[in-house]
Order: sequence, then structure tokens, then C-alpha cells
Amino acid sequence: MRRVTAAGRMARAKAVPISSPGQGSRRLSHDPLNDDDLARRIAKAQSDASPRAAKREESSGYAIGMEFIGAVLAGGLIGWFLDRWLGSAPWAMIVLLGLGFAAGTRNVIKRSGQFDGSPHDKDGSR
Amino acid sequence: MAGPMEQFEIVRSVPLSLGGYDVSWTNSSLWMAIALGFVAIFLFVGTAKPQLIPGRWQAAVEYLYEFIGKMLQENAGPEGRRYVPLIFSVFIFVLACNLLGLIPFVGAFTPTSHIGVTLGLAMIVFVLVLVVGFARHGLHFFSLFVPKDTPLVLMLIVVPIEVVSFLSRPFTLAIRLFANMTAGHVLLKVFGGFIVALGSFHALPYVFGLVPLTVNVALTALELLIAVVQAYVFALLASIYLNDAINLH
Repeated sequence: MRRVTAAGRMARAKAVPISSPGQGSRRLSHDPLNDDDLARRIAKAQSDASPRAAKREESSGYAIGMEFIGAVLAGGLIGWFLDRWLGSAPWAMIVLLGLGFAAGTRNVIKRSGQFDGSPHDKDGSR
Repeated sequence: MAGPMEQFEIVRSVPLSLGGYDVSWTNSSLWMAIALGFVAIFLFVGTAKPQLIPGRWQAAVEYLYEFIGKMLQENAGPEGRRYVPLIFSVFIFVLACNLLGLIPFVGAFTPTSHIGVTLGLAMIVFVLVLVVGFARHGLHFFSLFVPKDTPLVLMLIVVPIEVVSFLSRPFTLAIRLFANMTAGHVLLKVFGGFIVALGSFHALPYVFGLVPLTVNVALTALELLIAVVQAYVFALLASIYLNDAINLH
């Protein structure tokens, strides 16, 4: 028991004087603005530029629903004007409402962050 | 007691007609002019005597300008800085309209609670995106509608969807601002109606009216937040759309 503690004490005594000047010299070799500080400041600048309240507002279901309604409405309106222009009774509006529905669904999927739009990212589990 | 939708009524003050179109001076025009006046005073006073160490006004103006500048830089790259004047104008106009419309007792009107106004602003942004896109990339701008690595067969479906999705942008932009403003003001008026209805309970007057009054105070604070956030979101989405036109994804 005594030997072990003595060895432990020795190891501790050895470790302390070796490690502390090493850390000290490493700290001195860095420039005054070390990496941690820079990363912290970058993170702060980024969070300053995009306020959290707006981010929350943007990812809320309300804003995502708006995205869907907008697309269906746009499709319907474009179809209606095309019909009036071409005189093709209900057909352009029917087709474009369908497309608007598809575009709206796509907008919702894109905005809700399920996938980032790259076809190689097959990981849908997120 | 006024209904909750009466606050959105457009009232002609000076009926005018130009080439068959009704261009009357209305309460909406009046409050847009007041908003412009406030913005002009704010910016003129802030930049009247520019100093190296800014005073309060100058600091406020510089902060707002840099806020939009930074946002464009972040979302549309360094080239986006060139569009700061337009995005800044749209942002501060929407912000002033939203905030001034919340002032009680003076018969304030919120121009941004009308889809005609918000769609007009959104169309300015949309046309700008089209002009910038075609000026910078020519016909190559259409590659925006073709996602990378799309198989040729799927193009028949994907391209029309992308086109409709692109064309829906001004509508989403407009509806978002309009819906938020309208919903907020309706909510305030509905709870205002509750105050009168509950406060006029004969056996115990005023007491029950305090509950919706408390809610209304909290709602006013929430509406202030929404007024600022929606102006910011409008400018943010405008700069994200500009990014497509400048950098083509």
C-alpha cells in the first residue's frame, strides 16, 4: 500500500512540473485572440444577424402553411388568367391548380427542413 | 360597438380619377404618407450632422442600415450589398406602416393589412429579382427551374412545378405580411369588444372587463413584436429571393 501511494505521489509530482510549463508555453505561442474567442465572436455575430424570434416565426407551422396556400393560389390565378387569355375553358386552371398543389407540397417539404434539396441526401430519417 | 373588420375599411377623403382608374386619396394613402414622413424625419435627423462618434439618432440609423446590409451580405453574398437601398426602403416602409398602425386613439390605419399594398410591395421585389436575374445571367437564368441531376423524363413534371413554385413567391410574401397584420388587428378588436361586453355586466360593473383588458395589454406587446418581425421576414425573404437571381443557387 505504501509503495503504491509513494509511486502515485511520485508520478503526480513528476506530472505537475512537466505539464504546467508545457501548457504555459503553448498558451504563449498562440496569438492574443485565440481560436475559442474567435469562434465565439463569429457565433455571436451570426446570431446577431438573424434574430431568434424571426427564426422561430419562420419555422412555425403558420408560416409553412402560408407557403402552401401561396403556391395553390398562384397556380389557380395563373390558370384562370391563361384560360381567359386562351379561351380554353376550365383546363388550364385545373392543370395549374394541380401543379400549384404539387409546388406547395414541395415548398412545405423544403421549408420544414426534412431534406435540403440535394438528391444525394437520401437520409430521410432526420 | 364597431365590428372587428370595420378598422380595415378604406375611406375616400378626396375622390380622384385618373384615366378611368380610381386614384382617390384615402385613409390608407394618408397613413402611408405619415409613415413616409416618420421615416424621412428619422433618417434626415439621423444623418444631418454625421460624426465619427455617432449620437443616439445617428447610431440608430447606422444600426438599422448595417442590419439590412449584414442580412443581404449573409443571404445574397457580397454582391447583395448593391441592393441594400431597395431592400432597406422596403423594410423601413413596412416597419413604419406596421408600427404606426398600432397607435391607439388617433384612428390609425395599417396600410400593410391590405393585400393590395403588400402584393404591390412583393411585386416590386419579384420584378427586381427577374430584372437582376436576366441582366446577370441572360437566358441561363432559366436553369433555376431545373434542379441538378434531374432525369430527362422527370423534367416534364419537375420544371412546371418549379415554375409555379417560383411564381408563387410574390403571393406567399404578400399573404404572409397581410395575414399577420389583419389577424393581429382583428384579435385586438375582438378582445376590445370583450372588454365592453363583460365590463357592462350590471350587477358587478367593470370587474370582469379587467380579464380581457389584461389579455389585450399582452396582445399589444405581441403585436409590436409581430410588426417588427414581419417587416424583418419580408426583407429577409426578399434577400433570399435576390440570392437566387444573383448566384443561381
